[in-house]
Amino acid sequence: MAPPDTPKRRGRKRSKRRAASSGARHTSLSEEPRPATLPSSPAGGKKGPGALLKKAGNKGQANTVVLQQNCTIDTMPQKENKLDNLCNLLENIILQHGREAPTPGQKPAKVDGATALPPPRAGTQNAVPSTSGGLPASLHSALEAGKDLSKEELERERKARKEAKKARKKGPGKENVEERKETQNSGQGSAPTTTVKGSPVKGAPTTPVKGAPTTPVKGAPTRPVKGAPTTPVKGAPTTPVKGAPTTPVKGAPTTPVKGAPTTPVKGAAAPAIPVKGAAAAATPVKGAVAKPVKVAAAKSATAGAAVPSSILVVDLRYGKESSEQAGVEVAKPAGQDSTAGKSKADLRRERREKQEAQRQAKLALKEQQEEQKKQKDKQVVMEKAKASSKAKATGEGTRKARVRRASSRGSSERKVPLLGHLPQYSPNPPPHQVNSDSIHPAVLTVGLKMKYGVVEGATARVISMLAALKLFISDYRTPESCDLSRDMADKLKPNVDFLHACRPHAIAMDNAIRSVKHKINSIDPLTPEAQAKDELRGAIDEFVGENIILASSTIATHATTLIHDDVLLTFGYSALVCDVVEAVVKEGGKVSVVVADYPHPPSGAAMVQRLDRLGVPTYYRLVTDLSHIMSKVTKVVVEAEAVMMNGAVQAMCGTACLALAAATHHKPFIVLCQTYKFCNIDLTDSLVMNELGDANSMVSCPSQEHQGVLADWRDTQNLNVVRLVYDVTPAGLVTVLVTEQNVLPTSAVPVIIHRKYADILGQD
Amino acid sequence: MMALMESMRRDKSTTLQEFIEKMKLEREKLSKVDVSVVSVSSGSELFMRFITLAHQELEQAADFASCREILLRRGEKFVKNMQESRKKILRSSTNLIKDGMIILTHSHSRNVLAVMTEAVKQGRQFSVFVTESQPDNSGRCMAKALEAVGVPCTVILDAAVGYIMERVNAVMLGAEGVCENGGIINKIGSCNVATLAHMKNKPVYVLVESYKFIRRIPLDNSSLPKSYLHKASVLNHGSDLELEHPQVDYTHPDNLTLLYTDLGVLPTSAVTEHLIKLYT
Repeated sequence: MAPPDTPKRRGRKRSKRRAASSGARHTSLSEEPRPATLPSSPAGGKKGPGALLKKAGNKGQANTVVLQQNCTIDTMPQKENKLDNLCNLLENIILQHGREAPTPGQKPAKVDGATALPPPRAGTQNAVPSTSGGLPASLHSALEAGKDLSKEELERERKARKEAKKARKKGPGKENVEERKETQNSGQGSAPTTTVKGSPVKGAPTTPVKGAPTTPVKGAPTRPVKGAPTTPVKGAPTTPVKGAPTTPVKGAPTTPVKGAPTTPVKGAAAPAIPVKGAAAAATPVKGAVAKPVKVAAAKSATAGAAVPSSILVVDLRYGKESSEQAGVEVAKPAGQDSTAGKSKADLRRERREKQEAQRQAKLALKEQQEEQKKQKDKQVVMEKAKASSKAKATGEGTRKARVRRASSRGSSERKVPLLGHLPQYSPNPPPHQVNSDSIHPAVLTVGLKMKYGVVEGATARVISMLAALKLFISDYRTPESCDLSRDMADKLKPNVDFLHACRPHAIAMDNAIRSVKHKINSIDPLTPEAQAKDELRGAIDEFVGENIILASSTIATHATTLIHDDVLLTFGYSALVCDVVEAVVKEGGKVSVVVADYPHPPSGAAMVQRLDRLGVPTYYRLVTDLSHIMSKVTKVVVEAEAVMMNGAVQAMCGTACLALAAATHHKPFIVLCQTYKFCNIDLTDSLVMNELGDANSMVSCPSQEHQGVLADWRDTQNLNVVRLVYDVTPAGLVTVLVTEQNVLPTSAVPVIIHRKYADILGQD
Repeated sequence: MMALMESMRRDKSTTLQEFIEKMKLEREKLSKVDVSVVSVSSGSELFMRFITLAHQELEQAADFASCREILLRRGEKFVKNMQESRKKILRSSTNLIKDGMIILTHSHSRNVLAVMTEAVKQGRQFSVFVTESQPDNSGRCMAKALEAVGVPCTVILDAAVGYIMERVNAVMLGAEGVCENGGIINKIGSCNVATLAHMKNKPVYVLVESYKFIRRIPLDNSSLPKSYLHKASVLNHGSDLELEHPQVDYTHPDNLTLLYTDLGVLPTSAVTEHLIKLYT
């Protein structure tokens, strides 16, 4: 964000702010020589950490310096580079600001809010421009409050980096919040430091911004105060929405309008995605939901009932301020007296922050407009970039944080070349209305389970989905004016759509849904409802029993004709392959199994466990070992997710590698597949139809050396990380398909599809 | 097949179930004789399938007598079809052999012989290389038969296939069985011939009746059942099979060009469709 905003914009904002707020600001800060400090001090302040790092040249030194400052080390060694970059950016910005500072120019648009609003608090809660007006007073008061500068500075130093970066990267929303906090904050020196670090960073990624676009704005700033210190509550995506509208304690009605559009708008536009800008606001909301009462109670004393939000705000803000100040001093310890430095630093900090806030507010507005035009996706990208950078900056080593961050990033997937047509992966569940009856709770549950990988694999997904649909049918009531078949099909649609939004349907699921729909449509309108429902449930049971359970055992029987004393190679976890091995062992075959696996996630581990229980000699290897394994293997057995009309096999990503290796070594490649997974689509590559998984799952690396190297891949322009879920094995590499009908060549697929689905196929 | 029909006629069983059991016994008896087990098993299986295919008719039949009538009728029809199948193959392969062609064939196949005879009758000029086809020297029989109808032919060593391959225009094979994926099971050595032909981009035509289609896909040669590989007399003898020479081998469909059958000229991938139609 920083580099692209041209001086112009900044200049505008700055000048605007100046003009607007000049009265309040100058008056409040007048004691300290602002103009002189401004150019130098903020730069210095920003430079502080960055410069140190740079000059230090090596991580160790940088760290030590930081340590000496008595700061908790936010910067991990690995992130030094990033930090340097960030610091550079900050410096640039600050320098530019400094230059611009003296120029008085008026930008009318934003001023209004500030002027209109009641002085300090209103300003804080209000839009960006207002903050500028409000800030000085609050800061001033804060300063006067007589905190210990040294301590504060240390703390600030610690947080400075984080905050500053966050502020910059999160963009308008965060800054607004923070600034608000800052202003309100001034009174409280004792604010818990932990909140500053933990809450925004961690919370940000996880919080899904769901709510109405405007409402969250109010709620966000106020609530965060409470929730911030505690880690954000993950689970409740919906709750924050509700909370938001009610919570706004003080927020002047007018203020949200301005502030709102910048931060919340993003969130609103892309409801499913965790917005970073909004994240600051949103996360605390969650926290608020979780323990609003306690926090509020604890802090209420200081802040007063009216402004619970302000407390939190203060803390956050405070941290930031302090950090900056500290940074300044660290950078130029010799140059200034502690008091003078402090005051200057504060001033600078204030200024800088305001400037940034304004700038970002403007940017945000602009972005907002663009985004509104261009829709959610783009937003997501930007926000993700911000988020990732932020995450880096914070440098929290804990896995949790990383995971959360990763998940948050995942939502705002940047579209990968060639794969833009695929549904983008989002770590958050799709939005849905809480109390609407359009989505059956069972379907909701199953959808989320699929979303979060509790239910994996085509077969399991089909079974669980059909179970949910059975419940849906049971609870269904036909309205008087409609036929059951017609109305139920309509009611079914949002449920199916929801499932699809949670995770794109596997082909097997599509087939199952199609057969259910077919059953629904073929119900005679004259049948009484109870009987019709019984029929439908019976049909679903039959589908599961015949196509999945019976078919699996039949496949195992068929496979025993092909496999006897063999060394089998398989990929990942497959219940069907386990069944086959079990059947072969029962028949007295001496089988040993090599499980090739892919580490993200290592599903083969479960396979090994199960095989171990069967007493089968098992070897666990990675796919990368294929060339070694292949010469000792006699047969390759895998399960398909789907089989295409042209005989191509869609299976978990990595299966095609086995097929290639098997073909190279002239080993039979046996594919197990129930015929309900057959699909009347021709596929020749794995790009046309596929599913995008969570790319972040690939970049997290446990090894110390490579940890976090790819974590910021989204910021790297020319780097794309893609996690495809399926791959396609061409028919030529498949020796046989084992289905419940028989052992078939791939050329039999169209015949079976035409015979089996002749009645259903027509419906699409 | 005629034997099956004969036994059917003589059969006096009173229920359908019993009848089917007896037929199975007959089939086992047949497979104990030293004949081509592959085609017998596939043929008898298809025979059973075919005669019992008309479910509706069977269900309508009031008692076993009428059932038996129906079965007999269908059985006769099946046998008749079988006997006509060679004529149909001839019809579908009329233009297969052209003037000046040099053809390589392996072992002895009545289908190949019939097609070549037909071509000679039409006045085509072509010459044939026949492999000796050890261990039973069936290639020499083939050569004699060809010379009898006036086809110039040369017997070559089995080991000379590679040497001769670059000179021939096409390879023609018979088959004892056609697997579901279109691969063939045939006299040992066919795999060599087809593979070499494939390497040199020579077309490999298989002349085969559709009753030889088998519902089975061997993964490779080692997964062929022992009953296919060895004569029944050898199997019964109980000698060490590792020391015995296998009688047949399996040729992968990739090495085959087209199948000329009584159902028409089929690509290898079409076999499965016909089998699925028959069995489901």
